[in-house]
Amino acid sequence: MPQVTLTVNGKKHTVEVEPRTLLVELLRETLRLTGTHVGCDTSQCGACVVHVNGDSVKSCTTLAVMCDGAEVTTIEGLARPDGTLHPMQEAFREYHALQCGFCTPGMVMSAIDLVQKNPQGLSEEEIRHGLEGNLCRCTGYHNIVKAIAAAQEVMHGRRKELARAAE
Amino acid sequence: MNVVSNKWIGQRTIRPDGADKVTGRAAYAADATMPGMIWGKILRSPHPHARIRSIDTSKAEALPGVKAVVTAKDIVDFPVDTPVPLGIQDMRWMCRNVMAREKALFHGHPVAAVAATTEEIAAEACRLIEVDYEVLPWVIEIEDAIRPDAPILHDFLRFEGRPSNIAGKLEHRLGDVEAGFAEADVVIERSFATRPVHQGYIEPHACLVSVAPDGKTTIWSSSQGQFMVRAMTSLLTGIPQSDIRAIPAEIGGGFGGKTIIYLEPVAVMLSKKSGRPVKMVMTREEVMRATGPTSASRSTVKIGARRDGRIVAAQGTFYLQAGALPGSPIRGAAGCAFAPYDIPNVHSVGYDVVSNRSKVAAYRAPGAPIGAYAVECVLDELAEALGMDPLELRLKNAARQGTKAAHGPVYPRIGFAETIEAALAHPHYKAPLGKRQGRGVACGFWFNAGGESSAQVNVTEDGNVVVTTGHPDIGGSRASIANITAELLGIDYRRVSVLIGDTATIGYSNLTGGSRVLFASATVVTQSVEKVITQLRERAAKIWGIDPDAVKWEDGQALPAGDNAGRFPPLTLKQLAAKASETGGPIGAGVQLNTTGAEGGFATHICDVEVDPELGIVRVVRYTAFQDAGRAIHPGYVEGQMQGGVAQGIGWALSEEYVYDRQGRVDNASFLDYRMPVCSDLPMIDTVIIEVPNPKHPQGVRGVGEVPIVPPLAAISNAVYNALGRRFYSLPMSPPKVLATLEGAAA
Amino acid sequence: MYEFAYHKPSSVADAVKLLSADPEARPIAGGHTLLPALKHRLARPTALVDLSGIAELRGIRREGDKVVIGALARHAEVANSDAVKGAIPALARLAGTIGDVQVRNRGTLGGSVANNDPAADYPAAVLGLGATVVTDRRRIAADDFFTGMFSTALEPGELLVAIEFPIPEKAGYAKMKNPASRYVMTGAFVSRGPQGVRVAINGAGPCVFRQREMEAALAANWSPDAVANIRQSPDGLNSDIHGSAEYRAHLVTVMAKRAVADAG
Repeated sequence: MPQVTLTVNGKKHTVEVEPRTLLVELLRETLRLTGTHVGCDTSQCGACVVHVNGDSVKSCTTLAVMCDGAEVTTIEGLARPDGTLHPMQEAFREYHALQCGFCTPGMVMSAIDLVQKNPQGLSEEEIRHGLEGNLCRCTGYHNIVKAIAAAQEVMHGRRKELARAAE
Repeated sequence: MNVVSNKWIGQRTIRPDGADKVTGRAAYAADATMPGMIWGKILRSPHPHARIRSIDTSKAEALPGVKAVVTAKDIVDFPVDTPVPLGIQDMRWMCRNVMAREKALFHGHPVAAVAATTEEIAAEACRLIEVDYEVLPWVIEIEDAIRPDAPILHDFLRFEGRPSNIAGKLEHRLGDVEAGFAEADVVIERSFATRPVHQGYIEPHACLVSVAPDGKTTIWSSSQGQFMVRAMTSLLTGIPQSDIRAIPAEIGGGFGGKTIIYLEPVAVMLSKKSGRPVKMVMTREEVMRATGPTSASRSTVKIGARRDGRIVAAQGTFYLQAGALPGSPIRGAAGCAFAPYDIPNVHSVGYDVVSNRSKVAAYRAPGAPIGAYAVECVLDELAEALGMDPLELRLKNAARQGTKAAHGPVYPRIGFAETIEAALAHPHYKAPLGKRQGRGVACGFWFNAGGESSAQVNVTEDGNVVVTTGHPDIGGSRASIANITAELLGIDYRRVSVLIGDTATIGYSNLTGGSRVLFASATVVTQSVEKVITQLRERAAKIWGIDPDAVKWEDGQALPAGDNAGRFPPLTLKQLAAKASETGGPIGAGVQLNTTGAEGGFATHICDVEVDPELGIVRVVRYTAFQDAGRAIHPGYVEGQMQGGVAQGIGWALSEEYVYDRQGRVDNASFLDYRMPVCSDLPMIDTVIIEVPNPKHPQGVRGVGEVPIVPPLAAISNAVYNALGRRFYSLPMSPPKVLATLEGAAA
Repeated sequence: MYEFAYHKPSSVADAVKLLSADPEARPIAGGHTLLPALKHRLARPTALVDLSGIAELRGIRREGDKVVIGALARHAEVANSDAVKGAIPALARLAGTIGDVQVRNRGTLGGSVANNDPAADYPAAVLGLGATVVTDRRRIAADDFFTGMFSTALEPGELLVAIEFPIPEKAGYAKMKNPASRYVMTGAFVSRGPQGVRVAINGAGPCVFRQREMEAALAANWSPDAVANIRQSPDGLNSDIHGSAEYRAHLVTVMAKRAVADAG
């Protein structure tokens, strides 16, 4: 079996994988990082989104063997070791941008990639288009859009702290 | 009503499970694992209707890695002539749905299951099972299923004395409709059709089951009720409930679709046979093919009014697809349809129609959107015919305190008229519309529900509080329970942990469904906390050596009251907890109740659409939902329910539908082809919470989860009419259909 | 997924050798077409040849009057490339609307064009701009490249290396997305330039095709109105649960009109 070495959430792993092993299977089954979810079989739902070398990708549509040498970040790798949440995680929590929470890890990973690549700031419409690869069935997306709009202000240093959700 | 300071009730507190869910720590059913665990897979029928002559599993059993094979023989049979109701299900149908017995009744119907050391081997073994089918004629659509010459699914079903696919009829009558229509100056009668849509929860069904050698069974699964899982699994496997521990995993959405089980009894039998823990996870394709979407429907609604706008008679006939086994939500369709209005003469009939598609499951306000779609569209035409504003027409006829509803109850204080008045006064209702835009309104009702709930409230040794209830939290109920507990105890909500117990650790609690969870669990939590406060006052009284009646509880501390006021310094929860052992032992209380008094929920929605007439695309560009929540314990999650329900309604109205091919198979069993709205398909969904407290609840709570999906179908249809001048009588209003109608109009 | 072997060559020559030696081997780049097919057991390759380590397949550059894009260029790279945005902004816009963000982060130009899915975006640009497909052994004109549904002029073992896009005076693209998959229901890529006026229609038929009647009309009068009354025959167009051939035929006219407006 081929061997792959990849850095996941800052930690280096060398594992043997069958060529047909998907990245999501490696993360969930081998590394037990079960925060990355699987919601469909056809690359639509986005519950499995992780970052590979800084880009958001669907780990259900990526072979583990093709990630040899890659830096992978999953939802478990976002918060600081002291437990401080990433501004996007904080925003999802503060803005009630989740209900069942199943889509949340993929949503958060997609949202971070989207914000990072758009330092000029994103409009509501741009946020909505940027999330086309992630399905949420609970929230109607309303609070997700608001959370991302708030998080980008902190991520780009335009605000020191997250604006509180409206009362 | 014992709402006092409202320091925490009504606050948008951070949900207790927030950190777990944004960091990936929350454990869903598919995340569970056990040493020695093997994988289960289901073999499904390739035919929509076939008699099963025989099943040969020998080749599958011989495949290396296969540890167990299960067929209907391993599932307890419930003969069709003896009803065994369990909640909204009947075990006669459940046993046949979980594993096909005499016949396979839909494409995707489970026929056998295998457990093996890997998922691949289990799948391979399924392919080695030989099933001898006698393929039978099949029928899917309602209009085909009720024809006299339709293939009959079940020989035992009789309607009006003849074999039939009509499995049941439900009728509500009030007054005399014939006389009522005779009084009417304007009568509108229209027929409508809706397509089946799926709940669309993002988490596929999953479970991990372990049956120990002594029969003790543990189930981790994703469901809307661990007690439902325990009861149904017990009945279908013959294992006593006391030997089954059902542990609710975090649930990745349900919307009614997880008020039923599919995998658990199969996994139990596989585990029992193999002696190994068995995990089963559905694919999305299996979810779409074989779990319950909602019904397709055919309805006819006739409403008559006097010239002044007073509705004098209403009649509705609602045919709903049950899927392969009886049990469509005709009660929701026929019962909720006219419920928002004070109509003296009503006749409402629902028919339950079986056909060869997967058995329907509950979907958010089951049946109610179907009924409201027809009624609210007819009301729109009625308002036009009368020359009245559509909201004024509704307000004039709105049900109020004392109104007798056709489905039975006489309403207590309700907040329906307030939602209409709020909509009339809202800037959205008067905002100018752009080119090719239109505005529609519609109202909706859902029964709401009470029922059994249990809670345990314990004070920890360090003076904090742990609340355990028996309801899986889908929409934020833990956050609301934390608010109520903090409010009643007068402590910071962060000192309250809210947990969901399993079947072994908390008393029986009915489903998370029917918009009942907060209503019911707030009741038992409130009563539990009141008992805890009584204990705390007693402990303080004991320390002070005074009568407990002379102690009051305020702001998280015991205070001497009356003549004793000021005699002793207050004792805080922390101080009392520290002294608990010496004052009588642990402090805590539990309450188990069958709650009553969940009164109906009402909503009024305003919707603006914009139509691209070249493509036929309808976009919702502005949406405002007004709803009576009774009391919004956590407004953030009340709004969340409203927004989520509206979004699902938009999908139902504009894009979602099951499509069947010529072989009777679901043609779009994936998100590649099933059109669920993404973020860019939707606008912001504005919400206005109306609070007319439910007089029968300690905090005034009314259920909020289901009403929001009831009005959108009609609100959007009415808006499309307003934009185009053409009415649509079937859903979804997909681009090709809208375009064809527009071209038809132009021709 | 069935089992398969995995190879990761570092040169085009090695990749071609691997693919030629095993007719059942398949190249993989972003994998966003192939992996879903493998997951559903719709394909059973003996081996996957991972192209991602081949530097020759990378790069986006302007060369005189054309833009040359390596087969491995991801959709997001094309969408954000200054060279593409400057020379053929319609192509960058097209790349920026393929699938979703995650598809654009993995999917590649070469993979999309070599697969020739009728509902893919890139084939419309390749045909609509009159591009040239460069392989390990030859150059193929766009008009000769797309031969049918999921089929191209590529021979077994032949590898798509790059695509040369001539820079047009004007180009525009419009499409209607499938409401579920977000693939193309029907799209139109129009251009005017060194290759004359071209109108390529994707999504509507089994294979991307040129709409000659519209090309003639636009050659005479470059304006949306010029195509507004040209009707596409539904004969031979795709029909599925999302739209009939008649609906798609109607979309051809609307999308062509909007593509011309997009081109300016």
